[in-house]
Amino acid sequence: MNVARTVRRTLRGTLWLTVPLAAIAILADAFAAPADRRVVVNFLIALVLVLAMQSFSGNSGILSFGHVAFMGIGAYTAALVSMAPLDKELSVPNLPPWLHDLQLPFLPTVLLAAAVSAFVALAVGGALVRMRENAMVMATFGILVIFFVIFQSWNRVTGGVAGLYGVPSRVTIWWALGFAVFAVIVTRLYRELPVGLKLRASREDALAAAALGADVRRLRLVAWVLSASLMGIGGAVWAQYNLAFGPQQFSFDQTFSLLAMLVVGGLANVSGAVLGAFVVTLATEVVRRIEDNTHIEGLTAIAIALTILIVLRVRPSGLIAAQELDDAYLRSRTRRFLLDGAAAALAPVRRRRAAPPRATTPFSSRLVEIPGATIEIWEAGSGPLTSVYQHAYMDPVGPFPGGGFGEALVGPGRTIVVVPRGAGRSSDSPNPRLLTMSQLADDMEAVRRRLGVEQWVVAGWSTGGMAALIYGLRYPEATQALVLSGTAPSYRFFEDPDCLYNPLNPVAWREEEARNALDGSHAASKRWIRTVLSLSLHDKSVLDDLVEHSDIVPERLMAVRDEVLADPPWNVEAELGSIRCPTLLLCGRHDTQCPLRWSELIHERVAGSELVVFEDSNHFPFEEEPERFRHTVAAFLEDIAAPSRETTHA
Amino acid sequence: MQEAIQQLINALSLGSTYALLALGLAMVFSILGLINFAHGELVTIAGYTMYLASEHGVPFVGQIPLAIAASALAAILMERLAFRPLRKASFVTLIFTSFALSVIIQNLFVALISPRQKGVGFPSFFDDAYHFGPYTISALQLLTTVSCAAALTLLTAFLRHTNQGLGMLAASQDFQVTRLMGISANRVIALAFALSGALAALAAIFISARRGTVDPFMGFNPVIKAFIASVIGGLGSLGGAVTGGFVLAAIEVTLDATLPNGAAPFRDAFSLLIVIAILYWRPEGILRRSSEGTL
Repeated sequence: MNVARTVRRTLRGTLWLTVPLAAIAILADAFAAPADRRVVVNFLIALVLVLAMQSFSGNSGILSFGHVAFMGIGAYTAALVSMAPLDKELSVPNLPPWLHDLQLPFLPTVLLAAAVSAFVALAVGGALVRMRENAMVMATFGILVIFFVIFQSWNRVTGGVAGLYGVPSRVTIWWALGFAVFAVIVTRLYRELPVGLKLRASREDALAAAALGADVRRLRLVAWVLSASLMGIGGAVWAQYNLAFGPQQFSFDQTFSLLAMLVVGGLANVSGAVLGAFVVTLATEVVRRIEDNTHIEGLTAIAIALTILIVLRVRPSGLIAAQELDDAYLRSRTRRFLLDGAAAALAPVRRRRAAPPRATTPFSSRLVEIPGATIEIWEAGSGPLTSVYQHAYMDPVGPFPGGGFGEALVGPGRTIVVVPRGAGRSSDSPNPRLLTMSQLADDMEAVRRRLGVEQWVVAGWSTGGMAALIYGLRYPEATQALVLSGTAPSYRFFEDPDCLYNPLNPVAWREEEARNALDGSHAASKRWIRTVLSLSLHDKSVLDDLVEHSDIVPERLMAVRDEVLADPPWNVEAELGSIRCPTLLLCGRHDTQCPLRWSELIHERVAGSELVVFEDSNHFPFEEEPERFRHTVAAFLEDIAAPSRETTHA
Repeated sequence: MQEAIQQLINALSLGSTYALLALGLAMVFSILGLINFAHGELVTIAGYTMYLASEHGVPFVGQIPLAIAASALAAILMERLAFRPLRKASFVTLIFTSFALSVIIQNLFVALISPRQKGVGFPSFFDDAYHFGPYTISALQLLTTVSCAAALTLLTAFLRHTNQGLGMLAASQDFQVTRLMGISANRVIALAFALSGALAALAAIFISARRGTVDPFMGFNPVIKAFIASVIGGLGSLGGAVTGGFVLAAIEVTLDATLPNGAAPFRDAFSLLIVIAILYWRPEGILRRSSEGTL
């Protein structure tokens, strides 16, 4: 990572947040009534607190209930060292003399508050980060309660239940703005630099991140101490604005309030935290006016809670769930419009190119009875050669069930598309073990026997390629040749840094989120397809067409994933050497699902195999470079067919 | 020694209350993975039902089934309206939804009845104390312990010997497979919520009796205790929840007895420190959730 460039880009990105905040402060200072001004200042102070919580919970994925304890530590520290000695005697008459006499100016109090919070955080953090995630959440909860009890009961220092009053007022709207901006910059930088990035990787999959070298405990500890210090700063500023407080201010209500802003806005990013704080503050003020006018007690709390419920129902990951605002803008059509005009905005993201015609040869469907099941097949073409095509979890959409790949197979001979169980009109099965690639290979063999085909060319891409490999290894006598696109011989492609399923890949969370949202509905499946396809195409002009003509069977997707990542995981690398039939490997240079190196591995191990790399393709060379794909496959298949033509002639 | 046994007696009734609360929470968590913070509100609803019933002249014996029914119904409604649409949502979203729900219910009581506490009456014999040699136990304590034991026995019988109950036990171990076996998800979940409501109501009776009052925020402390107890025993394990309840009570009662006067106000802090320490060494809870069975 180019750190300097990342820092520059991030700082530019924070302007999206800091400029509006400054505008709000300026407007409030010029035009607002004192009561409204208070709201704005409190909002800016709350921002510091919410951002502190975001920097821990958002990046590590561990919800912390305990951060408000550090707000309290910061507040009490700042109060005790900022109050005039005479004022201290009113609430805490029994302070030790050195503390009694101590009175520091504004910035030193804030710094001291940060230091004390950091110190306490370090002390408890060491044990905390050694715990497992669920236990850690519970422990943060314990920390909140423990410090609440300390604030409430350590009368000598904290003033007990009555608290402290008479803190000097030192915070103006400009100080509040300054600290808010500071918090935005610090949390944003933390998030984008390697230290935060690795933590975010551990949020997705702690085990994977650790396996790839991230010291998860240390990363969490850093986040914990950093966020606690920021929380302490926020508490110190809060104390010197609100001037009087007691232990009640640092308990569940405050925790809920701040967490609500965070969760509503979006836990995972800084923009979300700011937006959430803004929305919740605004809503609270509006409803509070209504409550005061109508004298219905409790209305504000109900309204805010209802708002949270509704927002979570509609946007479960928060208002800004994905990228930071500036990142989203950089990729948006709006930006292209502003920079290059209307034509550029309307053009597809990559090269402007008319979408190539998809398959043109219609297949016809029929049902084949095999022992224990019914399998639907689609057939087209005729000739001496028979090829069979399948995909392990897609639901073939007729009358072009094989898409561009099927089209490439049809020309040279008869092509059969096998529809796996659970898809199309093939038998359904509630048993996930019957939805695997291994079962698909066996079902294909049963279909072959039923149809009386002597030998066939077995083709497939991605998991279809894996199923083809399984078939070729199990039934070598029936396998005339293998045509494999964008596939891999083992589970290890999941760990490839270029693979979009690898948790360390910054885009992996998008696929995972879409996959977790699969609920059997058509919309959810299409959403997953669109998410994955948009990450797997070099030529995005074919995206919409491909999404429209693709469908998946979610149960099969899950079953195949489980099969690859089983215990022990799927791995036929060692058996590749036993493949003797002609093998054609096709792969896009930019493949982000089964990266090129895995096709290269198969090519190395399978004697006599041919590897063709498609320089302008990702995972779908048969859609992204269809002419070249068809040509290559046709040439290969003609070579296979030729020997049998010779024998018939002889 | 004598002191210790007296403490044990005190811990029994406190632990029974905590066990009931924790069990209600664990029932929902073990199936849905959801920590329902609004569980405290089920206690409040039961308490207020008794208050309103007594205002209308219903005798104490009649208030009990009313309270149980009200809580169970409220729990089912909670599930249907707030949690079902969010079944696939993340842990954070679900916890938050339950927090928001609890705030709404608390403030509904504030707005519709009163923010102030209301007195509730109980049969006078609750205050009687029985003496066994040097030991004392109040009628309330005795009743709490006995009711809890009875409830647990009934619940265990239900879970082990009825189809519905077995379905729930299975769901708490592996929900997906249970559904594959043909058991309706919605029904099992509704049953779990209803049971958690009933358990909350039972606990509410004794909590209100001890306090003598009901107020909109009375559910807050119970749900915190329930949460802590469940975590000690092992989140997701029904037996663990019960064990955790008694362990928490034992910790609290022991601290009460042993802490010097100056440290007494810090009792809750020490109690939580002990809980954190337990979690540090046994992150899965005391009764690790085994695949063999949870009761």
